[in-house]
Amino acid sequence: MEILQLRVHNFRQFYGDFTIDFASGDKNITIVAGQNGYGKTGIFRAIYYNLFGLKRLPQDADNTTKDAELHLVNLNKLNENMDEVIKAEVTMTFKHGKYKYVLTRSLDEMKLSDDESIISSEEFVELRMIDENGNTDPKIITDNEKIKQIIFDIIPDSVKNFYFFDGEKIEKLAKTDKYTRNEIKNGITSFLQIDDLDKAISLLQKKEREQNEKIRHKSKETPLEKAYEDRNNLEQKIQFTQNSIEGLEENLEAIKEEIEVINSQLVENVNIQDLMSSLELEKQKKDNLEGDYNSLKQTMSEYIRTYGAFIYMKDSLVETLKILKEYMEKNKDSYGVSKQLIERILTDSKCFCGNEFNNNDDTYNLLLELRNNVGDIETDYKVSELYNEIEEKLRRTEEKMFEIHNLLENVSLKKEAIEECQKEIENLNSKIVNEGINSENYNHKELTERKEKCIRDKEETQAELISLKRRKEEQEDELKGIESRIEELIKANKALDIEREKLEILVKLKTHFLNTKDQYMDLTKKELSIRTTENYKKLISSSSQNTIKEIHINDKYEIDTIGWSKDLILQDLSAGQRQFVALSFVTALASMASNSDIGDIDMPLFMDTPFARIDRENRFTLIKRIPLLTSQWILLVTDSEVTKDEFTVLSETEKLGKYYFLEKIDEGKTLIKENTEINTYIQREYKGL
Amino acid sequence: MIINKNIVNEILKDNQLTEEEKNLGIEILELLKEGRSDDHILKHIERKVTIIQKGGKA
Repeated sequence: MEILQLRVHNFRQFYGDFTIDFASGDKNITIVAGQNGYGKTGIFRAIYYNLFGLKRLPQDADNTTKDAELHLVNLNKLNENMDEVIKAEVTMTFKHGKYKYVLTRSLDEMKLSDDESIISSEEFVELRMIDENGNTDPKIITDNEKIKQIIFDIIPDSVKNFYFFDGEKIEKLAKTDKYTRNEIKNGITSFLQIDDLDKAISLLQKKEREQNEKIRHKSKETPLEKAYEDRNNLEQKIQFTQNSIEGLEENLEAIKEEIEVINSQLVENVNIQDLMSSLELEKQKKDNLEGDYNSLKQTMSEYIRTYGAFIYMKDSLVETLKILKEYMEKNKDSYGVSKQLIERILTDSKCFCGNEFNNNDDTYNLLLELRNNVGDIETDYKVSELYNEIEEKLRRTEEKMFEIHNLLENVSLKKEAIEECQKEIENLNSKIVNEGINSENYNHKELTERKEKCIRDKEETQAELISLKRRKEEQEDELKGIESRIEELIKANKALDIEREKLEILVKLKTHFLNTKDQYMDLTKKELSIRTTENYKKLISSSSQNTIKEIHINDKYEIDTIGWSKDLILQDLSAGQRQFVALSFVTALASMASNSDIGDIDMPLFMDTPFARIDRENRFTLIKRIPLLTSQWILLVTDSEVTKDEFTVLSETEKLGKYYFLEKIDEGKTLIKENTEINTYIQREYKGL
Repeated sequence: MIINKNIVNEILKDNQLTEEEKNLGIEILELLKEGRSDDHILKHIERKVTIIQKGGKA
């Protein structure tokens, strides 16, 4: 899908008529710049309203206002024209497949002068379709349900939010809290469209419970009834343990968040701020060193795999070489004379020259002695070949031993440097603690003490969680035992055969649905992990790539980042890096939602203020790489996000197509203006390309 | 979409379930898609499971 044009007329804060032509094709970046509160999100709202007829955006915090109280017509226009009907209209032109679509949605509103209430008309909607030859389909569609169906065929309802991201959402995704887990889980569930499957599982579970109840009812005062009771009691215990686990997990999240808050407050102390920056640098240095260390270790293990056997056998090879050399020395005079030839002369008692001899002649005795000393010519050749081969291997082994020796030295140096870094990190951490405690500012003392307490609480909670999870596993094992007992008892009672068979059918079907769901979820998580990692590598600057080796979505729907040393390091990443991880994830979601190949989003990607917390180097990398991932990139940015430097990088991408800015002339009066200077510049610059 | 309801049906076809059980699975999904009430679907399951159970005995 490609969005070509958006026209708004008196819609929300946009006072009057405005048009945005979106860049597409080779130049696929459109920028709409405006200060906070000027109406950047209004552009997104107009598109959302036009496509889906929704007045409210997913990120709208105020959900208490009723839809009827949300007015779409510009309030200034209504106030200026009391008792007159004013229209708010949004028209969008977009291309999908071989059709061009022109969708218009509008609404009339009027403000009454007597009581200042606003009354609204029914919504008007129409869709025109234009084929590839430019012919407009004479059937203009005005049925909202039909239009909805056409739009959902292009952008499925369940995935529509994956193309629209704001900085805040990215920020939230970058945290390891319940919100993130739910967001990821919802993302995956939406992809799979497994809501029906979930519902089917829950209905089958309900039916299974009913069936068990029937059997239990028919088994009063028997061991089976007792077993059912045991099962119910244990299930309650498991539920209790599960609730405790969830409670503790929430506590843990709260503690982690508190530590983050304390850290950010501690940064307000200038000394601590310096120490924190040094700590951040030291951590980065350690990550890089660990990357180098692991790559050196990998090279070394490859060497050892190839040359290890030779190194191990080096002494015996040297010895073999010595023996072979002795053999060759011994046979060097006769080298080239075949033993078989001497044998033949001896048998024939006749020399080459024709002279004959007998067994008593000196010639015979000389030849006999020669035959005993001469080796087999083939053996001689093979010995020589073997000698050369072993000599060559030994030479290369010695070379590699030298290299391995150097590598080992390097590995050990890196290890020492990592240990040094670790010491420095610990040192800086304790300095931060001391700085807080000794600070004259009472707040910092208190904060540091609170942080220390949080860290202790965190450790205790983690330990308690491990023990509870173990208890739950034990309880689940016990439950399995009771369930097999129930199964045996039911089987033993022939009178229950019919009910048992019905129960088996229900369980079989439910298990099948559960397995199907797990299989889907697993597949999607794997695919999403691969795409997120790929995107991360594409988006992040090369100097930051050493930190993270892999990103994957774990069983708890958390984003795990795996460093080269295999540690899970999301908490250790800087805020900017975490945002990159989240961005990689959202672009992976968007590419999967548009059913595109890895690193290719066949849909416009909207981003609202995405650069705020991304450092300069990575911001530039992002500007260069995102346009390569998506068919259209629509950036809603503040002026401070795209300064002269960003603009230079944007120009260098040769992807910048359109630049608009928002001008607020009064409260509730925003104008959309084309930056003609920049757009003329873009046109002029690209003309010659 | 990489995975959708059609694939759910595909996988449903390719399983260890008997023909009747597979049909029941697909019917449940279809009834849900049609927006039928829980009660309606539960009654359908009840009826179908009884038929499958009897068929199995025959």
